[in-house]
Amino acid sequence: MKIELQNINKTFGSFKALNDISLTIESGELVALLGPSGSGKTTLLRIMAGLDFPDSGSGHIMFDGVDVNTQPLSSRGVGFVFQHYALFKHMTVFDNIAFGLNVRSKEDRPSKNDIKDKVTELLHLIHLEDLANRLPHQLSGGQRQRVALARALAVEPHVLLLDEPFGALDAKVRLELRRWLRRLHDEIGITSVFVTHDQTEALDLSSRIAVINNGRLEQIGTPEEIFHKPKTEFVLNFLGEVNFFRGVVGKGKIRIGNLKLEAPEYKDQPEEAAHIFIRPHQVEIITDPKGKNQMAATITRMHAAGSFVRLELKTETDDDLYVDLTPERFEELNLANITNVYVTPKNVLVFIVGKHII
Amino acid sequence: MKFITNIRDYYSQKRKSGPSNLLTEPLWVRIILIVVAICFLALFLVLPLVVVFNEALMNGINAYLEAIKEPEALSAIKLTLIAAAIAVPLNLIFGVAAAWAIGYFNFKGRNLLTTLIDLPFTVSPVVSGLVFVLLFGRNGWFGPFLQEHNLKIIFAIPGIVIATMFVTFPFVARELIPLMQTKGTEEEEAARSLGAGGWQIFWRVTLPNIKWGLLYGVTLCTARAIGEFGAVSVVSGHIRGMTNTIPLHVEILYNEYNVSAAFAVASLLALSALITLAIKTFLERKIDIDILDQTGSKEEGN
Repeated sequence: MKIELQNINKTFGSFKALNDISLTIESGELVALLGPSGSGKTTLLRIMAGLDFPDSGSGHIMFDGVDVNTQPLSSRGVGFVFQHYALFKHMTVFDNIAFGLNVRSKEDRPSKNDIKDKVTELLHLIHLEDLANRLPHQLSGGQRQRVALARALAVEPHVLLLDEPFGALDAKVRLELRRWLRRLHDEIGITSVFVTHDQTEALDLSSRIAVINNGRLEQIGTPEEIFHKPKTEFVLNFLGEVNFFRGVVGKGKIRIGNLKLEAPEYKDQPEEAAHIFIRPHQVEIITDPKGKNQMAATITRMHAAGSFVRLELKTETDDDLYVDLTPERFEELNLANITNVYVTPKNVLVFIVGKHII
Repeated sequence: MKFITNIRDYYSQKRKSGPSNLLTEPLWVRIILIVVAICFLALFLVLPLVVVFNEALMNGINAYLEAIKEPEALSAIKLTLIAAAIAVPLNLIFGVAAAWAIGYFNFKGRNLLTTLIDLPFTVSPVVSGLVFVLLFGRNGWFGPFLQEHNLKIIFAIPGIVIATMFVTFPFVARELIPLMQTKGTEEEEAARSLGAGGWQIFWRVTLPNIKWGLLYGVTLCTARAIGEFGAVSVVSGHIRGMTNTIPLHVEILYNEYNVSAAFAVASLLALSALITLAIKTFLERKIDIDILDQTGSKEEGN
């Protein structure tokens, strides 16, 4: 089901939680709402579900072109998975999953056997066939999360909304469950939106990411677009680590201290102060200086545990610089015994007074 | 799961061994504190209880049973049970409704309602009894209307029921409000998102979650309804065999120097207090475990 949000505003007292948010989610997509805590992403999700409502008179929420603003959540066909799962504590796993079917009016309620079949099918889907009679507090966090998902899916919703679905889980379970959810989405193809503050989760799982900050939509796009072509400094900063320099841009050059980079796209512009960002993996390190396009730097710290080697450097401009190298490159340069090196950025992102140019 | 068991172990361990040694005062301080507490308890709680049963059985078990089986005593017992049987269920409904409103919704006057619920605790019971006399008495606001329709409230059973209700209405609500506030509304929201209606949510989700707290409130409410003296005394008129409740009957017997009979009937109240205490302790454990489950499930992360 296609979801369209138009000009959504939400105020709590004097606090503006959502500021004129418009966004369209295509049928079958898996979209992440990414942002820091307090950014309004959960409020937006709750408004989609009908658990909260936009400020009166503001905006529209359309499901497949039908305005559902005034529809209560029970008739929207939405499955909602809560951050802390909100399983019914006193009910078994089976009864939790069957709840949505059991509360239907007599005419719509499937027969006891049909409900049993449906729940068994869902238990199979979440790999918890053997735990049907357990109570929620007898399950691990990951198992509870899956039960919450099965419970939401039992009523065959058109849209699945998940609030911080992996927030309360430890790293390993989180990764497993993330992959499993991805596969599940590919299998059943239900339009899904999930809220997260973890950028790797958003990059890994979603087909598109909506970055939200201070109640505003900063950018929406595919993970590649968001990562490689961030539209604002906030998006750039929020998606992965980045090194920050103050520099000057114009007359076909980008300057950071003595380092000069060719930038033909700025040929016709006067020089202006700019914020320059460099991702840690986009820095080349050499041990001998050649030409002018280098900056001298001193290695202050290094650690090699992980799939890459992380170097912490101090540049000649007295800025901190983090660099990630492959272990092979690290060996090749024999950096273990050297402290003075030269660095060249392979790629930079430039913002002039908050305005994006590259 | 492991984590929850650990929390529980931790707490039960704590209960068994008491607070950690780091916080322990010197021995003499501890001894003084304990002695003071025990003397206080003995003087004000245990001793009176012993006296009640001692005096009640002063003239032997037969006199004791005689005093209780006496028609006026039986009528007082009956009236007390009737008043409790009407007041408690009504307060149960009121308490749940008020707690639901205060715990789950934000509305204008929410704080005022919370304060008003405490009113019967802060007003002297005698004053609240007087208020009803002024409202429903012969010369009260509704007096003429009631007389016209030949209705009797003051110095009759309805007055006693109303006074009992007024004095006991905070118990259920007071117990449920904090419970519902800590539980939050997530389960109810989940039920709603799965298509459940208001009543279904209440019966299937909310009630099972608050049942122990609710029973706790009802127990306290019942105990107070049975034992209430002040408010009921003002509206009852002390008509023997008609409008006397157990506490009022005890007073009358005592004023007539019928000490052993007075204590015999009073022992019924003491007995009800002991039963209440037992139920209360049991329920408090259940509520503790419920709350542990709640916090455990939120904090756990594996």
